[in-house]
Amino acid sequence: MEEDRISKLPDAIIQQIFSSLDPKQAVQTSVLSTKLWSTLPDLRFDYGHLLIQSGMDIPWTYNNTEFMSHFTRFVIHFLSRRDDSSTIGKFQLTSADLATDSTFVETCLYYAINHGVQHLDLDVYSSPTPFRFPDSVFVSKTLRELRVRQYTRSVVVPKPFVLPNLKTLYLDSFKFIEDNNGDPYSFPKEPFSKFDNLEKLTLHRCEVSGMIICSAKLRILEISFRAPLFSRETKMEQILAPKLTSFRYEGYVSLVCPKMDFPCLEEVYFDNFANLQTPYTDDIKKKMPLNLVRMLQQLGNAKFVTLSFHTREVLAMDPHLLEQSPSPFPYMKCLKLTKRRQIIHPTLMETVPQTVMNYLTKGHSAYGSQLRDSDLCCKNFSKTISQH
Amino acid sequence: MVTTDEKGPLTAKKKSVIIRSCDGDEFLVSESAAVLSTSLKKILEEKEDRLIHLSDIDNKTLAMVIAYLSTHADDGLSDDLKRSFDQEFVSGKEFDVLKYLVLATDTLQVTCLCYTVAKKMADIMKNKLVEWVRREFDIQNDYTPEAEAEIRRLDAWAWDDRQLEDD
Repeated sequence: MEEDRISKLPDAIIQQIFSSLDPKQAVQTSVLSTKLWSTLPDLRFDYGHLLIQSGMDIPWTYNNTEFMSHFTRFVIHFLSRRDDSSTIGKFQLTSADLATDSTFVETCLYYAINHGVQHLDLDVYSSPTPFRFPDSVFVSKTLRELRVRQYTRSVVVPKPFVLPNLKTLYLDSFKFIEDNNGDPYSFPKEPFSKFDNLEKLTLHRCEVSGMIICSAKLRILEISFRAPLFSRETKMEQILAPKLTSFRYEGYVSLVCPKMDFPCLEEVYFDNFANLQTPYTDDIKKKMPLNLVRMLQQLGNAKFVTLSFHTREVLAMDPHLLEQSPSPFPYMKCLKLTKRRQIIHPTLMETVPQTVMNYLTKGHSAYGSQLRDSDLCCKNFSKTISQH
Repeated sequence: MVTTDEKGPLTAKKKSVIIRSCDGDEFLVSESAAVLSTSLKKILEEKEDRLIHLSDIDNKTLAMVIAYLSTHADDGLSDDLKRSFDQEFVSGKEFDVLKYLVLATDTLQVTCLCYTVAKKMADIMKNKLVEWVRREFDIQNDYTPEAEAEIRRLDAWAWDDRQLEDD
């Protein structure tokens, strides 16, 4: 086929290829052609990445004002040279831990929203003043997905904060408190009931104690805490999500919620790990398995269940409790047990204690005998189990 | 009982289809592999015909796409193995070959392969001169020399032509 080599690819494919470029390369593409480049739908501006790649002899510091001014000037130029009638698909602005001017962030936001952005991703440390969302974000008909991270006091949460068209929301490091009138950086404790179209909600590193989630269309809920928190449990007040099909939890603390019911639940992923070093005490050994057994029971409608190695360890702390508890997942079709995250001793067998296996498979006698220890040493152990 | 549930009945019958390239070569493909392409899936749903003619994909490119589809339809392979297959699949391929591949994956709507190939092409574009990129993609330079110089001046920090290659 060499003789009739193709030279021209369709614009949509070229845009897809260019969207995979790293930022420095993207900067260089800006001189390729005004037409091509000014209509790129996905824009990613990552300060740290650009700084590393710039090749400039600038020492790496968190407050490098010289490079920051290069960066902000570049982004503003980039935007001003774009084709004004061309809409934006994804707009990503990342400055991570590096102090970023709030006026600059707001200018970018204003531009993105006015150009019909569908997916907005903001990981910016706005300092010394926080940035605010422009009012136009609340009437945006196009915005479907929002990801935003709070750096202590880097973003003001508008009141009221309602995005009725939003489908996917990812919040990182936010707080949800009873009376947030005095705290412009937190959400109220029941923030999402007016997000009429919300389907997927992720709360990462958020302070969710006392929080209420009421959401009519929510299908996917993910809650995670990366770093160890120095509390033993996080107690949410209520989760009302009648359409929820998938629930995912990852964290060092016990998640407790007395009022939750998911009639449509299909999938559960649970990764609860115990940190038994100080300041944790023996008391956590008693409470953590109990909280976990209760939580799994509340997620009992699930058909596809994935439990981490760590979750199994927590369960194994209290064999007596497991013997007494009923089967957590009576409708279970598939049980997947994932391996330990870090392999400390590759030769170490990851066996699941029989008490834990008995507990998880209670009432599913047909396959109890199918699960042997050797199976569990497999990478990504997975068995589909049919009920008879 | 350990079974493979929903996919059970489908794989049991081992249905297959014949796909013909624009230069007339025919490939026998299992249906489970073919339906990983959204376009082929639609064709198979619409008509009973077991022979699909693709008028704009040549035999070399089609053979590559089918190798990809068959690997990804193989339930016996772990996700890790499939990922390393993907890496292997695009490595060492000429830019021109990738162009045919990305076009074919777009026509056949194989989203994840399209993404993998696009990513590989972006990787190859690293450290290439603007002139190289313009040539490979047949992009017309619509800047005036003054305007181009101005942009290069403004974003000078991103330009370090010393290591850039033109081939």
